[in-house]
Amino acid sequence: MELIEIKSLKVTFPTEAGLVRSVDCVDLQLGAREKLGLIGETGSGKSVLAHATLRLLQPDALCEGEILYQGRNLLDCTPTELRRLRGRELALIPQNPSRALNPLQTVGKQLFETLRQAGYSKKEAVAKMPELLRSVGAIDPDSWAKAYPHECSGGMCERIVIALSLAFSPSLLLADEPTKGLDSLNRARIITLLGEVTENRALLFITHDLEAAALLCTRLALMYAGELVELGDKAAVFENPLHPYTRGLLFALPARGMQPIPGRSPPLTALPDGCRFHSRCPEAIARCRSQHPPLFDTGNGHFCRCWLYV
Amino acid sequence: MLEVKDLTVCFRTGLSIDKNRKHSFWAVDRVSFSMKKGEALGLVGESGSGKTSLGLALLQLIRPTSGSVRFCGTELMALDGRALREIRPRIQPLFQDPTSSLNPCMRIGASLEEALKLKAPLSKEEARTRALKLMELVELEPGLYSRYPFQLSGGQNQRSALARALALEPDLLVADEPTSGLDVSVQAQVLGLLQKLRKKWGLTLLFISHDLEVVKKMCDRVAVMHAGKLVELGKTEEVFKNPKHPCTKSLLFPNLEVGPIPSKRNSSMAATVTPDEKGFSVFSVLSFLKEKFKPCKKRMPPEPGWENENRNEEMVEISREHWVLIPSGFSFSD
Repeated sequence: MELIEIKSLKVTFPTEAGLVRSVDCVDLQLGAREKLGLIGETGSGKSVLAHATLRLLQPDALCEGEILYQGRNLLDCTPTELRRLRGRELALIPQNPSRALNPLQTVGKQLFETLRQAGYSKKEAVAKMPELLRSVGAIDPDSWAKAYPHECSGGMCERIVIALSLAFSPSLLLADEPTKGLDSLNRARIITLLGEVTENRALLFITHDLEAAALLCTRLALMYAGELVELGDKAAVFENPLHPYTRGLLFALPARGMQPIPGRSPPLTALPDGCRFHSRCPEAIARCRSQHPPLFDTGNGHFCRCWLYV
Repeated sequence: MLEVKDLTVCFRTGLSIDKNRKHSFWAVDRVSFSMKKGEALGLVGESGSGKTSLGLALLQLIRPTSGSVRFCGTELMALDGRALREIRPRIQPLFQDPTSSLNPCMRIGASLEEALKLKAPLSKEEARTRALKLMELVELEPGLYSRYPFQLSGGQNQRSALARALALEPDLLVADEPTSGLDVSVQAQVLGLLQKLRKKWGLTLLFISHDLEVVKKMCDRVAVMHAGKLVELGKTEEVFKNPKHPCTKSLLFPNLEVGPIPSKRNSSMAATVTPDEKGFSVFSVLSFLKEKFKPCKKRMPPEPGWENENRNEEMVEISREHWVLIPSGFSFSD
């Protein structure tokens, strides 16, 4: 049995401009030690999917479908049951760590508080703190513990939230854009650190940084306008990208030519008929404008939502 | 066009992890370089190396502690008040976070008109026409004229900020990580636009970034900073192919080992950052220098004027137009 099975997940938000279909019928599976990269741009629905998994969305968000964790549907769980799972078995490494941390408390106090929640006694928590900080790469854990979040750099904050997420030894880590805004050195270090700490865990790596995902993950899933457009092994997706959007993203990388994808992603309140990418697609055919393509299995576990592969 | 000599920016601050100590923080430490008209110079370095501080010092948004900045023959450090205001339109910034660099209470059109009116008084209609032309230049839909920044995406806001900077027809654009917060394809769009405009207008560009691939694409020359100092400077291709300073090498080849931790971390670039006297996120370079440089038996006498330095270092031209900061008396082993 897979650790996490997402079945036909739909997340919609009611807004003044209409219903925003942030996640539209997404199916994903993640094994116990698997590392899956969820790649997409701003507005693709990847963060919403992660927050929906942990039931961290606002109350008026409508979630349909199933999120099965070890057979249990998380969308049916009571708040008490969720509290037992969230942070403990399923942990989120939030985006913008410097904003996610409590600005009024030292790093040490926040770690201490979390460790106490995890069941450590006061003495044990104080002893475990430096160990936890060292495990995320702090040479001098005591000075880190005394610092406030605003005194820490982006890379340090990222490590601290990773430490916080590990306090309970979760079986699944959801890392939401952990390398965003970091310089290349810190980015490399965070990627290495994530690789180390997820050796025996499942990881859902949410990012728009294709290269980072390719380094850490075995499988990649690409989202566009709320739906999955490509899913497959890392090597297959990188060496033989099927969906024109995937190809566009790869060619937009500075190392591969920095070619922009023309146009913009469609508004989620007014999605076009047919394929959601067709207006920006260099290979669109007549069918793409009128018929919405399903996710096709092109063989070897490589899926693509594109009429070119029927 | 731009000649910078021994530029220093020193902050005296009481902010420290060790709250009992007030200390000085040298954000920019005697940096010297020059830029020709029309060139694109990349400024790279890890977080905390002083790149943004240097950019702000050039723009005179932070007044440097000492040194010289000659812009088109005029010494900016000698200017003040009105004289400085008059020269400011010629050096324009483009900041990392476009949403916060635009006035949130002003519509895009109004922000552009405000900038245009700084150059010369304009009638309402003329200002609007010129603002719309600017928007066309940066490939923004005219419908966004009456929108507020919060209604626009990151990429659209960055184009608006670029349009505002170009409204003043600057000679030099200082872009501080203009695409770091943007998605990959939006980054490609904005940078493509910047390149197009550079070619069209002959704009000189100081491009501050931590993304080396972007710098490789955008810039003719690159300068590498570390702990406030300029450690390497040269043609982009040359520096990236043949990096000499250990800091440059570590930027180019960060040790990306994914997997279980090797039992002994013998890389001196161990994945750790320690806050130390120079501030946060700064590495000790000494371990590198000990590894890589062989101390020469004959030591040069200390140069006069280097008051705050405990090591003598100088920029040495090791090959044509390729400069590296090396400690005096050391010799290259390769």
